[in-house]
Amino acid sequence: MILHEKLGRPGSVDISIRICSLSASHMPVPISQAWTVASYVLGQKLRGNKRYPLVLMLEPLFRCNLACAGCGKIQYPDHVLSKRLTPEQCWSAADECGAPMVSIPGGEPLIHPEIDKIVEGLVARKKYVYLCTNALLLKRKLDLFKPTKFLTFSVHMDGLEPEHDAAVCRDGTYKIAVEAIREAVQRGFRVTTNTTLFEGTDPSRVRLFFDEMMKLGVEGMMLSPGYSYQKAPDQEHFLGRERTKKLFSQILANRKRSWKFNLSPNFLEFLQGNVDYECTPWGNPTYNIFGWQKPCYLLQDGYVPTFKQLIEETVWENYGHRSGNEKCRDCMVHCGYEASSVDDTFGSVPGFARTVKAAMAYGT
Amino acid sequence: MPQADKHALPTHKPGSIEGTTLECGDDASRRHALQTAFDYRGDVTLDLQDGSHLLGFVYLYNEPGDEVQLFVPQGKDSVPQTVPASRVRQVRFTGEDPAFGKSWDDWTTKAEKERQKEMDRLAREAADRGHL
Repeated sequence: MILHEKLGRPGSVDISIRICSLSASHMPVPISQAWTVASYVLGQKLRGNKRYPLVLMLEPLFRCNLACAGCGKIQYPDHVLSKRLTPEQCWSAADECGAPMVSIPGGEPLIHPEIDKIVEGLVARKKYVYLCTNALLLKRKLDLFKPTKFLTFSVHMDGLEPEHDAAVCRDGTYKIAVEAIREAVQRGFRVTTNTTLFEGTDPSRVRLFFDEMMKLGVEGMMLSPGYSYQKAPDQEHFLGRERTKKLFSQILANRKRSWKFNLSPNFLEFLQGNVDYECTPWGNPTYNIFGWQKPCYLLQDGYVPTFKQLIEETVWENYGHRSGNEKCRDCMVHCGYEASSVDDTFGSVPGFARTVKAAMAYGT
Repeated sequence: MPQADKHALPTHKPGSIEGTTLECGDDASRRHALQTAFDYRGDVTLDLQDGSHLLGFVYLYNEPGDEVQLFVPQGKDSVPQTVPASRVRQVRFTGEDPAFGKSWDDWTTKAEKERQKEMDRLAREAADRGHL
């Protein structure tokens, strides 16, 4: 079993995952997207389907143009880093999985020589695509894409300039990303940011960062805590559940109306400890050059060739906060819990009421 | 350096299993060796019972553990290959451990000058590939 974070940054799973993984739900989003997601989830509920995917995490390559310290995604031999999913493999995974949203992390997807073709095919399937990028190549490659409600660039931003450049281990990255965001917004593309927070994060700096991102005109911001692992050697740096709740409560206290979050409002409530959920690891299934990853985006317990096998053969009871699995004990990451919060929204009247209340509070 | 030669180098690094060998004397030791190979982030060499060798990245060793799946380098690409676990005599961790010394703590404990040098090198490599 491999944990991506096994040599990763304290308090987080690893940087490439942070760059790439923040998933794609749900507001503020176009009404058509909200409707698509809502009708999809309700359809699954009506069919009595307990385990359904919400966001396909499609990793077409692991190669990146950053080399962030602790990043597990780039810790492979060169011949593995050189492998790419073909557009046909990507479309086939999307068809097989059926999720209404597709998040494309990596590696850096814009390195993929056929990323435009991959996106085009997914958009043709009416998938809401979140292309997760560090934006180093975004400005140069914008011409490859057409603005559409189905495509969002989700730009990795880990804070204001000093924090972001330190996190990605390269000076100048923040400035390039900001410039690319401006250009993409100006050209009519949907743009969000995605941010992962760690132990030691200064809440007041994060609040300033939110102000800066909203000034850039992004549609919304995605947030997640880093992945915590109980057995990690350096516990003092890890964001355990209680510290995660405290940090997010501080960040989101007296939140400004100008801040828009591209997340389920219930997930933000969960991060602050105002509601508790169990993990939904099948909510964001991951497909990459090795196949369908068991059980989730963060853990690598093996691979299976089909999505059906992933759903049917994974022993899901072995995972989640309450399972007793030490690898899941402190995890509050979006890819496990945002799907839980969406499921809650459509699972009961109280869940729906919670969502409405939280949505009004967060302006989402 | 050709990839094959690189993998043949016995480069044991203290703190990493790179350069070490695990024997598969019985079922338990075979399971341990192959599970360790699955966890390893670099390439390994599987020495098989018939005296042949298979070099590659182990990406799958599923329960009940009767098969190992690898990506075997071929030129600049690699291709998937499956080998029955029972055929494996020993596992040599011959490929460079790409995770070793790459943790966040490793990074932060480096001197500023060393970090800058590494940042420059990595940026140059990405630029050389046309990725910047």
